Amino acid sequence: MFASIRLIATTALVSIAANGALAQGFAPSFGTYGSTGIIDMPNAAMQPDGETSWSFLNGGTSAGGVLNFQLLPNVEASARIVTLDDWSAPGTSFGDNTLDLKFRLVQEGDMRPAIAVGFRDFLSNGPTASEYIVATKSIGENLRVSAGLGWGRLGSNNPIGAPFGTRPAVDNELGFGHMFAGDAALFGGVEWQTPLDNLVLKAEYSSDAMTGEQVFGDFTYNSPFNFGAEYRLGSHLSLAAYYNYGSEVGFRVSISGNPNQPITPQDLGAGPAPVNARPADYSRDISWAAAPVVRTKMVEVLSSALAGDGIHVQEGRITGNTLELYINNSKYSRDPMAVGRLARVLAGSTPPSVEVFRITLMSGGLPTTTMEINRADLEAQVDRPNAGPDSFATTTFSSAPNHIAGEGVWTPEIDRRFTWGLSPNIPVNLFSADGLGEIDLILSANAQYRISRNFGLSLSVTQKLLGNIGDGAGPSASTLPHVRSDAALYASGGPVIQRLTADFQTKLAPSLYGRVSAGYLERMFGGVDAELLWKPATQNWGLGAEVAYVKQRAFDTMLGFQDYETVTGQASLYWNTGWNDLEAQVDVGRYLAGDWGTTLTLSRRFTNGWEVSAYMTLTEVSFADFGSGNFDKGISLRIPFDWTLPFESRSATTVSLGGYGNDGGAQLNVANRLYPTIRGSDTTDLYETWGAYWQ
Amino acid sequence: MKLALVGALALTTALAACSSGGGTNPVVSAIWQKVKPGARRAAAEAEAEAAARPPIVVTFAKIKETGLAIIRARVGDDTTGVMLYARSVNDGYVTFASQLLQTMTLQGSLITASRAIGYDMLSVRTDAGDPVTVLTPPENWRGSVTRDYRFTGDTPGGRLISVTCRFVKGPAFELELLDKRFDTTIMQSQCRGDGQRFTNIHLVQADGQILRSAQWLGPDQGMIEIDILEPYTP
Repeated sequence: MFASIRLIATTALVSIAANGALAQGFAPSFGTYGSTGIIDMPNAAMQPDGETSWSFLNGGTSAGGVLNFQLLPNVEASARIVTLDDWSAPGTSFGDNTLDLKFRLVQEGDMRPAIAVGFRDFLSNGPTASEYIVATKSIGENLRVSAGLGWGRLGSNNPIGAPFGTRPAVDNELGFGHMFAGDAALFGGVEWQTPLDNLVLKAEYSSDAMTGEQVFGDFTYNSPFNFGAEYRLGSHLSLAAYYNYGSEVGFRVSISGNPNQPITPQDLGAGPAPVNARPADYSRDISWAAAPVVRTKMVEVLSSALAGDGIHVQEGRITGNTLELYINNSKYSRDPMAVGRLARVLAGSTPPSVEVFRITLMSGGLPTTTMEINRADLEAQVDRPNAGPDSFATTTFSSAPNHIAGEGVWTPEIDRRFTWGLSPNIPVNLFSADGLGEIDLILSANAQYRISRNFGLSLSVTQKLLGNIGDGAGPSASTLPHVRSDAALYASGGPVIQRLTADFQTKLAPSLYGRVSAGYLERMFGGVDAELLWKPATQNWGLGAEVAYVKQRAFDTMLGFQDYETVTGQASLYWNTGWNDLEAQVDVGRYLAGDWGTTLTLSRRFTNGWEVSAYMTLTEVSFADFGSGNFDKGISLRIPFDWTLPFESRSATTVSLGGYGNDGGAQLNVANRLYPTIRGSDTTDLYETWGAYWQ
Repeated sequence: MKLALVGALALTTALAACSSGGGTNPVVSAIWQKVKPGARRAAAEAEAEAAARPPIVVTFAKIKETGLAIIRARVGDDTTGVMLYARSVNDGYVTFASQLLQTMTLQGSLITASRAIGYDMLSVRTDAGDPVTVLTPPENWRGSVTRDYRFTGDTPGGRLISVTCRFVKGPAFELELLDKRFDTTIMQSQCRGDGQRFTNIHLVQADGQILRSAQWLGPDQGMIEIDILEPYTP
């Protein structure tokens, strides 16, 4: 290398200074099930934590889409919407909507293979239900081999026995009794990273005899050996082709992204203000603070200077040695970044006698958490190693009262009474009657008029741009009140008034929040909804209670109502586990159709704003009365725009995959519930995102 | 249907980040600035005006006149670089900032932080006496040091990458920098650890002053090259 340096132009050091990650084998890829695997067979490999992919498949005997998500470093989840051709009769397809899970029990080591256990169609003993245990080992950097034992569908070719008893007949009912029951069979395969960059070749011995496909279809099963090739186009797109069963050609297209890895560099704007420490003999004189007009003018000037950087002061007070600010952060996706930048500005712009900065975050007009930052600590920590952990340790966190206490508080006029925004929504109905899934693309226009900090009017109008949710839906045959099953009757193209409400929210105590909303609360119901939330800022759990009296809106989604009215509500427990960004919520209460039950929601919220949630609701409504899907369940994915944009933005879009038009377990869709409004500001969350404090 | 889908997606993407707070989606704004009537002519005029201006020649004499510590940074294919001026000092950590407030913090000649240059590097800890941080003649460079690089990530500590850097002395090299030539020695620091490996290169004068170096800014950002045109002196 030194010899080459002599020859290069003097400005080319960068091009010869080597860097890179050490080789760790080739990237795991997806199989025909849309989850990480060989071809039809699974392996024990895992995607990078948080990796999310959409795969579109056509395998000759089946076609569909799969959302695959690396839920935790050792847990992979896949939601599949697949149509099985000629399944129940010639020419009659079967819509197979399943949830697959794979758990890695042992990570690959130098001498040991990775071992994983997995479940296809985890919730029922459907046509693709199977369980497996599989081991995978890399040999060198370009070869990966796998071998495993499968049950259910994966135990149907050359079984070696049934060690755990007989497997019940295939059905589509919720249940777990089938797991690891029935015949077991061996499978295995190899994956080879070819010398051609991005091309991986695969071969496998399948333990799936494809029995069901041969009953009614013209499918011919000739061989248990399958072959495939995958080609990656960049890091976000892969294409694969297969020759399976000795008779069928298939293909797959996968689009991937990772919430931990923004696809464009962040922070290409301006960096934070440099901080110079005050000299040792700085003036401790506080006589300047004797005049109230000086103090309020100082806060006012500071406020206008900060507004340009997306930090809006809602209340402020300065004394000789303390500055208190209530702020709205409208720019930075991570609140600690706003707080850190604000603290730097304050260190450079306030009199040296001001020793303490007390900064309170606000969300939705509600003060949430107060952070007390000692200026001397800030000056000592800035630019030094370990500044992140040190600054978190020296910052004091507490629940904020509704207003700054005491005299001399400066409060600005509401500078933006009227605000608006546009956002896309992409609801997906997994459980449509034909089993094929339905999707809409909806543009939502939202406007707010704020009368005071705590009271405002909200309007949301939506326009469906494309989609087929509800298309062809017949009259509802539900035996329950038709609280959702008449959804198709509402599904006119729009624009429609989604929401028109008056909302009042306040803090009744530093840890107690309250909200009342009245008006057209959502697309199908209007009324009055009241909520209380107890959630100390330094606690990772909270309790909520909500009750609403609602009436069903007219099908034209304008101002009229129908006859159905009810009282609904729930008590809720919220728990931010602090483990791998996981949050849990349990709701117990009375649902819209008058049924009593409970909803469990699990969410993983990444520090960069991505959020994946899954929920299930069980109520006293029987599976038979509930209809398709047996009970209400769904998944939603929230993607912030700053993941793909080279600037800070707090905008986001949501893709929802869930039940549609089911009356059992239906909740009121209120837009401004308290916990989602304030949860991003508790200490558990701030700890997770505090790495941005010095950015 | 496919055309309608593409159109609808494009429309929603364009409108997605529009709001009263953020105005028009900045991406849409940028495209509009490029394609709006007269934009091409205005761009051509601005280009011609810039070309007509006499080039600014930076010399060491002019640098001295400013009385400021100055570095020049280049990323990727950039050949001209950006000047950054010393703006703050904290116990040997000097933060330089560009006019656009992109910042870089140096301990001696070691880059220990960067902001708004792409993927931020939060901080670097290195062993006491690291020859990149204190003036050390090339023949006195020690064998190796350990360093802890911190990047953005979950928790206050962010993502930690600990490496061991081994120093290797190379041949002499005559460096042409601005209006002067300098005799330097090429020093490599070959760093490895936590799944990463990279090589920093420093052009070092006999008294230990590093004039130019290519340094690692992290697994996502890669390398950056800096010229220390006027080092900070307390």
